[in-house]
Amino acid sequence: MQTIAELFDLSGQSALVTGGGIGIGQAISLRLAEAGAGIMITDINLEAANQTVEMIKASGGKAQAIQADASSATDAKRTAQATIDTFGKLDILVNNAGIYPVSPFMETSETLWDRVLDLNLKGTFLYTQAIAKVMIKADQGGKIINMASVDGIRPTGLVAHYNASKGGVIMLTKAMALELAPHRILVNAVAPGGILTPGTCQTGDEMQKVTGKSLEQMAVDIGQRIPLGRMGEPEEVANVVLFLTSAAANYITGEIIVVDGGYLLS
Amino acid sequence: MTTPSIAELFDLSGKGAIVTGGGMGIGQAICYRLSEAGASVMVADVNMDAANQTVDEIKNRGGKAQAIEANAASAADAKKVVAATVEAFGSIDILVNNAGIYPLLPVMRVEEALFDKVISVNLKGSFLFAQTTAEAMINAGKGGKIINLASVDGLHPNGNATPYNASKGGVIMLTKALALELAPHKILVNAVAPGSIMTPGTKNVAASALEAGLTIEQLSKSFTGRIPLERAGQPDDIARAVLFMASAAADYTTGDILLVDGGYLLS
Repeated sequence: MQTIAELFDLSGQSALVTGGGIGIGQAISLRLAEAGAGIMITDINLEAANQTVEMIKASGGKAQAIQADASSATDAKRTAQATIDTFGKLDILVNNAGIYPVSPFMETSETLWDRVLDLNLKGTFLYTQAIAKVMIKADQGGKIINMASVDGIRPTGLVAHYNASKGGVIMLTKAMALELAPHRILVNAVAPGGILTPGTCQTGDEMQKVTGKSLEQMAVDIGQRIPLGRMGEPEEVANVVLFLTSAAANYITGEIIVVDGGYLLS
Repeated sequence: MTTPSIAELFDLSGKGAIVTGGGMGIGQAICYRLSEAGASVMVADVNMDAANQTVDEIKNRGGKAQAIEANAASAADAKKVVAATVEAFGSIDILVNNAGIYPLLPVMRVEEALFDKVISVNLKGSFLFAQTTAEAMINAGKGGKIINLASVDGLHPNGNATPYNASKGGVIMLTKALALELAPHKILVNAVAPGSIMTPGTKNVAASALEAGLTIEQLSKSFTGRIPLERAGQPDDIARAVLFMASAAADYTTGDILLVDGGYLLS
């Protein structure tokens, strides 16, 4: 029987985190590195990815940055290969990269729709397929964690494209979990609620332009709908990702863990 | 906010926990994990011998635990267990509503008395223990964690377990309702929904189901058929998920139902 410390020890494993440069992706990278995993941080913004790498190295962890587009099949293959070249193996994939531009449904252009679906949904498919190929070849199983959202379960308005992409991520997670189970590749998702990140602050600004509400009023509105009465921190999502990547979750696959302070209850 | 280390996230030192049905199977595994994390554990069970065995094993491993005889469906026993826990450990921080029964029987042969018994232990018991424990938690003003044992059978019927299905479906919505109402007190309420887990209890169920005329094929379909990971789970698979929910790693999760089923519900 493994001890609790052993359950959460990822030493000798390696993880690829998309969008690991800022916000939730950065917090996930830091946590997995703390658990002992070598981290390949992909981001469209190489400077941000490098900053996360420096933070990890400063605390004694192993990490490397690579610039990559999370919606590109070529980049998925390239980052998978780079991870193998650097760490010798690939045990964990976190499909974290995503965008959530605010846009009323009737004003949402086909271009914007395509951009959101390509990155949030198709990117998750492409990266999972490319990485699962490597995992199947290595025959040691693996863990894939997708970033869903409470917006994939219930709409809040002004992000129909995002809602559709995350609803898709939820069912994609279950479909991939079913097909990859024979290879001992477990696929799960975390569905965050309102989390304070640089990205969501920008969303707040965009919402303000559309709704005319003050940021303060929006914060009150949001707080009132969250039973725990506060927004979450990126670390609180990262902690749940750590659980799913760990041996503590070895009998869990196809599951969506909601991390929302109870938002969906209200 | 200072970010706690991974070791700190899963450290339950100084916390008091109640586990109903802690004498065997999944409940026992939960007691072991919470104790390993540092919590003091009140092991409640209708079978005092079983509860004592769990306590002895915890003490052998250097942990702190106490056994108490209790009927999980009794309001009086809920009060008794809560009072004993506060007296023994000084505080109640974690409640695991684990006690449950799952008799297999075709629906047309289920008598009212059996239906009442299953709902009483599995559903009403969770309500009674949660209410009594939450009262102590609210008085202490430090929040807390309540973890209910749901089941895949609360989401999807598998045949021959109608009262159980109804009770666990109820536990799932009870979990969400309690989570909503107790959130202002920083009491987080979540559930873990196991799939097929190999326990002494499931072996007894198998034996009684055979006596009741079910075939081996029907049983095997109930227990291990259709699991994508191709194995039944172990009690510790559930205990690990309960540890997660009890830990600070799940401090922004409430009202969630965590499936631990090897992918069973996907198939």
